[in-house]
Amino acid sequence: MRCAQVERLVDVFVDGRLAGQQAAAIEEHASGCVRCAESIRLARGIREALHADPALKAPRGFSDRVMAGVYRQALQGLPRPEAAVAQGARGPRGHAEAASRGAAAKVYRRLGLSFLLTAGVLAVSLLVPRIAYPTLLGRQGAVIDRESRSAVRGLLMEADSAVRGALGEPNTGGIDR
Amino acid sequence: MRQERREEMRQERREHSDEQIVDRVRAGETRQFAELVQRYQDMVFGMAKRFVGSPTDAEDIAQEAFLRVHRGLEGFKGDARFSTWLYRITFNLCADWLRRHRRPGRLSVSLDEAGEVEDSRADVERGILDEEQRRSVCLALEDLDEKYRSVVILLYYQKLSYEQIAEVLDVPLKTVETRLYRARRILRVTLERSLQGNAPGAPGGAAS
Repeated sequence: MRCAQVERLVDVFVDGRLAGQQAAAIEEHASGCVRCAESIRLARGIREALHADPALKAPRGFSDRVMAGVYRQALQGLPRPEAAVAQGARGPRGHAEAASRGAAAKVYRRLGLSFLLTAGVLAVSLLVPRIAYPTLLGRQGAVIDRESRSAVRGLLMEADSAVRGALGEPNTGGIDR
Repeated sequence: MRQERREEMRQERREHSDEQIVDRVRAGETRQFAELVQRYQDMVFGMAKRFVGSPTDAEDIAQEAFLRVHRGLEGFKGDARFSTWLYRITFNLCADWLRRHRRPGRLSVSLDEAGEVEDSRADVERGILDEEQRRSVCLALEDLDEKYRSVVILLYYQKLSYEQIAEVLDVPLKTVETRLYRARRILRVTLERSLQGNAPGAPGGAAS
């Protein structure tokens, strides 16, 4: 292997991404070439310097702030892209404020909805029978009323004559109305 | 006792893959999304912090990344890994931020210079750098052009594979390899200079 090839492959070699044969060839070359050995040491130095940097942790409460935004999104549906960018620029506190404003608005909406529903039920129960019943059932209602009254009278007369028959009294037609 | 129960619950959740949790969130279990946030918050915040520097801006970007992911869950087909998709969204937000806030092209060493690797006799103990040398590498990274800096951050800090980097940056694998090669060549020259500067007898070095 030549120096130029080692120079080209040195980082991949240090990353451990070279096949065994190529890696062995580089090691063999570097054992007799000061310059390439130095390149390999430098490449390892870079890797070490960057790996030595400690892993970063998200700030405290980060996931709660994200979830406040997620719930707000879930409640309010998909915001327009412009709105999404503005929310991104608003920052963590902005998200929390928006979430609390969203919750308050929800309560107001619910109160308003319950009020409307109650008013609607009252209107239906009070007004509809007064207006609609005579209009819809006026003539038909009177017919039903007459028929049901004569049916009840017939039943009572039958019961009366049955009782009188059982007691041996003459059927005088006690129920005549 | 409570601690144990919490640990058990955490373990139980860990058994679910990202994709299974995504399915549950899509089915309406919004609170399950918190598990994904907890799994990836350090990676996403860390990535944003490496790219933009300021912790406040990094948090804004990280939050927006998760919110965008949540908004986009319906369209997530699962042909890419969830983590790769999340990193790609985070990277795009960082790139937008950098376009707005950072001046372009900050190479401290030109590529031509990087080609002239001098024969250094500085004695570097294998795998051991002092604090100053490490810092010089990190500073050199900060000065790299964005397209080189990105691949180095994703490889070394985020510990992504070459293939994942290609997916996150949406470029061919070959491009990732080329950028990494050039970026590391520049960093090597910088480190070499730092070592020469500290070598005994070097002008301005730490000769005693």
